[in-house]
Amino acid sequence: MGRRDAVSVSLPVPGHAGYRPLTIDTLDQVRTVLKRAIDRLCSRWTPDAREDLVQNALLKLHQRASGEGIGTYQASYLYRVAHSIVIDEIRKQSRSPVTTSAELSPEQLAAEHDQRPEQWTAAADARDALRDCLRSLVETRRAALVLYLQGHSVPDAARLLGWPAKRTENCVYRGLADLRACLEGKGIDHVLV
Amino acid sequence: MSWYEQELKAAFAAGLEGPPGPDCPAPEVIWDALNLALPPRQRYRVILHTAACPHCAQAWQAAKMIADEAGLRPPAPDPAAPWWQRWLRAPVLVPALAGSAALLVALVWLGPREPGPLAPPVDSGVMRGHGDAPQLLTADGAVLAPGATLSWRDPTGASHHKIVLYSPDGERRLELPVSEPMVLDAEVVETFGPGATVLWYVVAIDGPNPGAESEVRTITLPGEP
Repeated sequence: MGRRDAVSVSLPVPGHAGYRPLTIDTLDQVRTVLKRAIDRLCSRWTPDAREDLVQNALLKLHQRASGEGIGTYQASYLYRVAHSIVIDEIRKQSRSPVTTSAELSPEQLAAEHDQRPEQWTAAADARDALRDCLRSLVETRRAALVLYLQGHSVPDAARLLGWPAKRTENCVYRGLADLRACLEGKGIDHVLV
Repeated sequence: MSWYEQELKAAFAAGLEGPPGPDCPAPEVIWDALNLALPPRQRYRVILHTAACPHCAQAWQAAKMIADEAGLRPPAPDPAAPWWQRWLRAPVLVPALAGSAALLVALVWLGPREPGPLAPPVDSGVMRGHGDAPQLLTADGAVLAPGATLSWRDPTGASHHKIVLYSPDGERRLELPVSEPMVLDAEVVETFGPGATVLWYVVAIDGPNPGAESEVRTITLPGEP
């Protein structure tokens, strides 16, 4: 090997040839990963509610474990379980018979969001219009644009869609133009929430 | 990104009126779609569903947030890279080039050489960033986050190096041979635990010459202890 000025090594990242997923097999480690993910997803929930979710996730893992103990997992699987537990809980609460956001008056909703009632109504109308306009877009533009609106970069959206970056970029920007035209057609020139 | 686009993104992310529909995919399906574990056609259907369903859009965003923060999703390819860089990084070419490089190293290693004294590696530390403007972080105590690299300079150009990592109490120790391009294995985090402080130094090795060691530095591994 010849002389060189600098040498460096880096931590593994998924997709790199040297990447090997970290395995987790003790209850404490499993619990730590689950708790970290659930705390992050439900930061506004009470500590008790978050702890309940951690327990539910541990129970789910225990039920799936074939032998004694908690089992051996990759961290990615634990994050997947945590995500699933949280989303299921949100869906369960959305379906529960207690008062949902849809049943609250504009005054109550405005109070929840620290806004004036007319502000809340206007923002809700804008969001409805946004969904309507998204539905009206050409399917490919809708798919690319929804990823973009969710915070994916164009290259990331291209990878998720399995399209070339150029095609994805075109769909995003044409989708944005169509969306704007549609919203303006509905008399909405801004969509502040 | 324009102010208007920011408004659109915020409006899209807000609002969860009404219950989720009966055709909403399971959270696991949303997770798998985001992490490319679902076939392309099914993934496409999930993506389209999130355009119409605020609940599943929220589930998608939640999955994206923790997957990104946990470093579970590989970084997106850089479309601005010129064609020859993308060609050089092609999955088929990288092992081929690495194999050729290894063969070249072996040939140089086996060839005649004059042994000379080895100087220890110097300027060791943690480097952040690549390309034209890499930034040398403080040599001691830096967090070795993804994207940061252990770096050093070898004034004599030894044939190979190894990194020695050990815990402050000396109970855990790893010796990793380094031959570029080499990636620090997840074994490091497994051995020392996330968030651990680890001491490290580099040893320059060159055939018959005894190894010359760099100064000892410290790093903090990513994650919470």
